[in-house]
Amino acid sequence: MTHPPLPSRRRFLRGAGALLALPFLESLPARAWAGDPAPVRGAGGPPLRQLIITVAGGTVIESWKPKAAGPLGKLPSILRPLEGHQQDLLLLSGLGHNGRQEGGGNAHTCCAGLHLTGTKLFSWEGKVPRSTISVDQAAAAAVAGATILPSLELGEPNGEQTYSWSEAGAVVPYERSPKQAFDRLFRGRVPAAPDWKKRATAKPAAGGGGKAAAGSDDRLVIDAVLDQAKALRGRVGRADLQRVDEYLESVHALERRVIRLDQRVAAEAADTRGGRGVPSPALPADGAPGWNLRWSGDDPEQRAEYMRLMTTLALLAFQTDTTRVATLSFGQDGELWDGVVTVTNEFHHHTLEHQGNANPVSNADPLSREGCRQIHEWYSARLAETLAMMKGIDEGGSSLLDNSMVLYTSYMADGGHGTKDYPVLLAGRAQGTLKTGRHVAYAPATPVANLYVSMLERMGAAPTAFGESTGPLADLA
Amino acid sequence: MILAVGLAMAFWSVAGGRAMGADSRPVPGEAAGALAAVRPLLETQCFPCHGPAKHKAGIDLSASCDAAGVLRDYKTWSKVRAQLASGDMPPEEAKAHPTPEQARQLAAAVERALAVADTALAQLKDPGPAPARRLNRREYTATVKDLLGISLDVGEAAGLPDDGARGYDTYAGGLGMATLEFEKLFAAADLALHAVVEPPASAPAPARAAWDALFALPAGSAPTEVARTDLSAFLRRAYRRPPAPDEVARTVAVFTAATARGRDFATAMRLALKTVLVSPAFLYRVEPLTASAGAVGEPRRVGDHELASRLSYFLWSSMPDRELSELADRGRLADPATVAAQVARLLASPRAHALVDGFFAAWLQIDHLDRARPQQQFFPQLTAPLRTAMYDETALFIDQLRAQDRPVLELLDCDYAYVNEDLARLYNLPGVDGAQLRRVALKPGDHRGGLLGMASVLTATSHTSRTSPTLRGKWVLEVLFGTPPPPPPPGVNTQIDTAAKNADAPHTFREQLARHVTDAACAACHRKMDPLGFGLDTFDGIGAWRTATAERPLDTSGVLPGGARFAGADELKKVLWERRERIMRNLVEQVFIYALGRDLIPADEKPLAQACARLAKDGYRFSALILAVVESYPFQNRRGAGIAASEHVPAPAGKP
Repeated sequence: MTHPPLPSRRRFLRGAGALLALPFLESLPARAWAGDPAPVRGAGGPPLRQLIITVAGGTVIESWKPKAAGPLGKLPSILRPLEGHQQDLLLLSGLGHNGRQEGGGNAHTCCAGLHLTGTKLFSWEGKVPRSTISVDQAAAAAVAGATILPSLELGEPNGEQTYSWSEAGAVVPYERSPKQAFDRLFRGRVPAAPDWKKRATAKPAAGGGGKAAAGSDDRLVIDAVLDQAKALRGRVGRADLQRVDEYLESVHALERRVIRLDQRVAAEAADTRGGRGVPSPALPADGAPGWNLRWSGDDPEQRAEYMRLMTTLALLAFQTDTTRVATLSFGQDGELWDGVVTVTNEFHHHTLEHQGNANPVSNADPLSREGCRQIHEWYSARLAETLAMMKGIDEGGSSLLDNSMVLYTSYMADGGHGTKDYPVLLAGRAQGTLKTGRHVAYAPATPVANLYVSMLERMGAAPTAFGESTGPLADLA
Repeated sequence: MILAVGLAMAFWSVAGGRAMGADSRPVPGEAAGALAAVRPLLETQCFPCHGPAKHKAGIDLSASCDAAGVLRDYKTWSKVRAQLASGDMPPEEAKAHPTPEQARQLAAAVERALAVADTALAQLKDPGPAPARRLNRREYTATVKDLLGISLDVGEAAGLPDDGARGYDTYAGGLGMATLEFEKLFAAADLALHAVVEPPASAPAPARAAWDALFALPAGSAPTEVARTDLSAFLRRAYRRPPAPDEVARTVAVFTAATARGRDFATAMRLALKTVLVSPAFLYRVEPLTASAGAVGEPRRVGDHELASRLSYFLWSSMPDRELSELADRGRLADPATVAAQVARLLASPRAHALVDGFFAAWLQIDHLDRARPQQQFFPQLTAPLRTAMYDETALFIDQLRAQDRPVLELLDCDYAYVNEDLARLYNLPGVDGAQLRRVALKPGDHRGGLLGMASVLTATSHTSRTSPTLRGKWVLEVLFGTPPPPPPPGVNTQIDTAAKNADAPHTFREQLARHVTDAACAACHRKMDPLGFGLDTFDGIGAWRTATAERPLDTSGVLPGGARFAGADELKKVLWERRERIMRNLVEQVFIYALGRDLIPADEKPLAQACARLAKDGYRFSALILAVVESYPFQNRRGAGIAASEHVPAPAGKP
């Protein structure tokens, strides 16, 4: 073996400790706060990143949406934990999905299938769901080749919450374990932030290029199994061809990753020569039990810890340019919120969702609705922590938040499986391409897919069609 | 209050029912005519909701309104027959209703169309699709253990995704290969090979065997020759068939290339073995075309090695062992007696416990009992050990059906249970101490015996703080009868619980829930589900027997087809026992789905009927259930999908 099967977190942390050079959390740069001009993209600086954070359960709209469109002032109660961040926020209301589900599933699978795809038709082949490509995977395709991983999907959605879909319309699985996620990101390398200024003048180190001269021994394995698979194609029937080809595509994806890793190791060695490294004090020590955190169904505190850890990993992946597209999925509908919900003895989110939603809303149970509101206010507090972390990461004159486009949303509009008037909050100015500090109200049922087109344009894709989109969303910049 | 609920008799024979009477035997070619004659009726009575414009419950009858359509959508038309017979469709709130004479015509036409389809189905020989499937997480973990002789749970260590989201984890449609999955399998191969630890040189030969077979270079031998021999043997086991010469050559080439890079023997072997562990012929259960594949499109018997794999993965969720492999090598598995003997041998092994975790737990929907909703704050007895014991009780009960080859009918009723001290306290059974589960005899007044008295099932179908008659009724319909009700229509107001839980509410919970039956949008399904669930309301949210809630007495009554009334779980159990053949038929269907990894198709009708008959004839023995599936046509055969190489589309090119 050329490297141990498990990366050594100890080695990473030691390496990081020796290379502390960047400011980190304790030294939040004041300049990242409101008022500073956001840097303009495309000037050879850091790239634009897309982060989607999606939580379960929809929202409680009257406690989420400001009464009027225009500049963001005092925030509604769910968003109150984000007080002070107004100038980085762009709240969009009125957006909805108009697609439908056919051939199976239930109301939750339907909402999940529409969520990030904005698809017109979400369907089932037997027990296998099919949707169209989701905005995260489309963004990943747009920036493919630039980074080691095209995208990162983290979190612990349940089996019904399938948000990310490949170009072929298949479910993209999420990484649930923080430890596995770390290993996947940094197997065989020391996390290092690119020196973006140096990168701007040097010839491109990553992406596109030819095969590395020799590469790791794993290249031998990959070449051999590609040959095995191609030979197998001649021995199977037509129905199995698709399977073998799907396998081939996955092997090719790994091959691309291994090649980029070989290239990246060289580039990073040059970057870190000047003493640059990525400290990440928010990560647990090597071997600490924190690495084995799982999403908990009955402990909100543990969920908060899990969210912090997974978010830290996503931000570290951005910082080190391991990927530029990440999706964090938090929450399942079956959780208990004892300690967060204080107004009723019912702590089960799904039950609260149903009791707290009715048509008309006046028929809903007000205490359950207040319980839902408390849950989403709690989620907003986690978002506030994330935005503070992103502001605190300096990328050479601009913060990671400046260089990001964060979409905070839910797979349902409300706890009653609503698909109209979703909670949609953008954060970060996306390198000056979003005019933040505002609430923009759109006509009812304006497709969420239009927002996705606008996001994809910023990521460098020029989608001619995306889901049910009728074009880009107006009034973002 | 007793709710008069119309659970029509025909409802219990939904899905795959047989043609009913001899007088309905068809005249060949009549089917199109049968439905064509009532087409105007279908258009006014059915199509408004199940036609070209609306597909309520996902059903569009206009698309299958001829002989071929009925054959294709046999199950749907069986439901139509049942719904017509029960009078459930058209529903009360429908705009148009048939006259009694029209209803009779409609029912008769559907009956004739189905009878024609039955005749056609009896002649249909189609083993159905059997696509290559990736080893699921359980199978991969077990196979790697067997292959390398390690004890590591590599699925857990590598964080392989759980494949159970699509029902059974053997379902081929759910066993694709996303990029993340392959990356994890690539890492898992390293983990597994590192788990083969070199024993000290002083260790006795048997303790060294596993290591030596893979990594040892005997003094004085040629490395490449040793590698070729060892890798050939390894490939035979890993691929579950003799490897082709080019497959051996490619694997040895990895060893040679690694050696050329200066790697030592063990390191070079490790790379070659990793190649095997991430190669498609290992990761997928592929049934390749062979020279003897027969004419294009003709079904063929699966080969011996393929059958050995089908058997082994069905019963053990792992690769064939030495004995089964040798029988396959010698071409002995074409002999039914040999296969039957092997099934008996595999079933007698504790390794067949894989059927409990793989099939039964998923079928009974108790595989996520750790995440079941009831909470200890509402049910003080519900400790973590009790939760574990609940699953273990059901698992042990079923595993003993297997080990002692008892009748699977005991799932519905029997006079014994497996309990430990915690469970015995919950069940109010005296004289059981300690954490160990043991068999106890039951008396009639104990209210236990069979699935319906098990805390696992009763807890998995409850809410956080109370029972859910709806979930329990759905469980009976979906799990026992295989006729799941569709999910609630979108936009429906499901907030029924609030008032019910309010102690000041003027109505009983049951009266609240009765709105399900009066509200037309809910009634079609809830009047089937809720009474069944209320029958089980004599068990609380975690399965303790009760006769009243804190607030009020229970009303556990229901009315069944033909006006038979029942009250409580004991009487409901008798009702279900009378319908045991339907339930056994569903069990056979579920085992087919698990074993074949696909949904049922119309051509399965005859094999299913044969399997059911076989099961009944053999006294519903556990072994008969398994053997009936093993000997069935789709298990023994596969489609002859042989295509010429020229038809192959080019492989996708990598874009490195």
